[in-house]
Amino acid sequence: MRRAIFLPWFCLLMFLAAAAPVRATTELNMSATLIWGTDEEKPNDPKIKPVSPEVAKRLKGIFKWKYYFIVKTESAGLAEKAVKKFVLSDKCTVEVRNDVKTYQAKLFGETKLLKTIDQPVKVGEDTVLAGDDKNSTAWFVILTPVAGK
Amino acid sequence: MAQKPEYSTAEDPTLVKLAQKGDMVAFEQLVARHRDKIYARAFSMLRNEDDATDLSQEAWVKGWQRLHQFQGDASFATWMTRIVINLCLDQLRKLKRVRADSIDQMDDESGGVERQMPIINPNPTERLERGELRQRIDRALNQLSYEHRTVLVLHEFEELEYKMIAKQMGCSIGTVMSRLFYARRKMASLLASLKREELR
Amino acid sequence: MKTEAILRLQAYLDNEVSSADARQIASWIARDAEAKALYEELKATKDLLNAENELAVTLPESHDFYWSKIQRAIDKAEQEPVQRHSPRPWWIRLLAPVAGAAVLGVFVLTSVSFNGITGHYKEVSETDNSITFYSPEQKMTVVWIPSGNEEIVASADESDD
Repeated sequence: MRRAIFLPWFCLLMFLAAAAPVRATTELNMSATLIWGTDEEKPNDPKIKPVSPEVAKRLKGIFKWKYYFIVKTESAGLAEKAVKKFVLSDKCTVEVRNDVKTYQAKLFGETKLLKTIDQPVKVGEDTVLAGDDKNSTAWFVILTPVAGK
Repeated sequence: MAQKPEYSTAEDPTLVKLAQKGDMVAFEQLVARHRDKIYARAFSMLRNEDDATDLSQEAWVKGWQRLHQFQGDASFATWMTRIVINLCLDQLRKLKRVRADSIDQMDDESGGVERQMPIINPNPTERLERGELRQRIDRALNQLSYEHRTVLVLHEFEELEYKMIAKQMGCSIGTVMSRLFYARRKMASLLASLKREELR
Repeated sequence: MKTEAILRLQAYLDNEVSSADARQIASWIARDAEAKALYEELKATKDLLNAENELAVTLPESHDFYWSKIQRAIDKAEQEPVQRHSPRPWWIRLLAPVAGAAVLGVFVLTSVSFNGITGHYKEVSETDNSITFYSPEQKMTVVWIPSGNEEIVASADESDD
């Protein structure tokens, strides 16, 4: 009799346990990309390549420049509270700290701290730090939290 | 509790009244609604994207600061257009003080060269589609000097009278009439030569 | 043709003459072939240059970005007069910056909770003048750092150096 009462509840509990998501990892996978925006179709530097059409479309949806080129991209996994320094050029570094549900990013220009931001971790959403560069161009540092493996 | 207005469907007079009371969201809706028109007017006068963007933004800031002066005699869009036109004219005056004005001085002191230009047979733009016509007019406008393009824009596109143009440009009515005459004759000539180029 | 006559002809075209002058000029055009030809050229050009034939141009920036700069300029302009005003009781001067910050805070909170028009929030940093806004369409939070804060971050075009 007791087993008859207990069994459905047990089955329900097992079902809920199986359906429940796996406990989220505290590791943050982050991608940092330095992009250069310009109205020149062909830049002088042959090493830099155009961004993907999808990224170009998103940037053009906000900014006025016609062409966007990847200067450098780096990815890394950060354990909880770990800090990773992404060196994106000889003048541009961004340090990212994993605060689990949020991350803190510090942007350095020529070793000087330009900006500190704290952002929630949302896969599928980017943070863009941007500013004017010489000759009416612009720079963009895109931070992308990536879904963990 | 008062119902929040539906900004996207509210008419301009409603939004203006709200903005006059300090409602920044209402003002943002006005900006969203009329930003292209204000930018376009600035661009038509300055012919530079960055300058037009900067000046149109400045016009919006001034619009916010002077909202209490808006009485509704003209539409809000017209009122904002006047603000951006004045800013552009100030900018053009500054540019004139800085740059070498040899060509414009020649235009103004042409000694009536526009009277000597041969009469152009009308309709150099017949059979053009509207889009092509706009492009050709724009190309011709781009070749005029600041002063001549401004007087054309203010008279033909903004439909201002001579007296108002003179007041805004800070010159005499006679100067407005001379510049308008020269600008029209030059446009006729440019449109005709653009047609000849395309036919080659 | 004399300049004065030509400009009167143009003024007639633009309805800037009296009725009496208009009748005179119309009569002149009717009997003078050269005046008629010039009038027709001016009229053709005038007829072309109307609002319908003006090339439409659109702002080359997103609304979010454009608006954030306007807002920043408005905020800055509104804070400046408070600091420059002439003698007031000392406690007013103490309150003013606090009040200013409170207003800004209320504005920011209002924007966040109200969601404005496009569902984004805006923030203007008081320390470095950077502008932060969110674009829901592009799923991006943008932090624009105005030039003048520091040297440029990087230049991909090394040949410029």
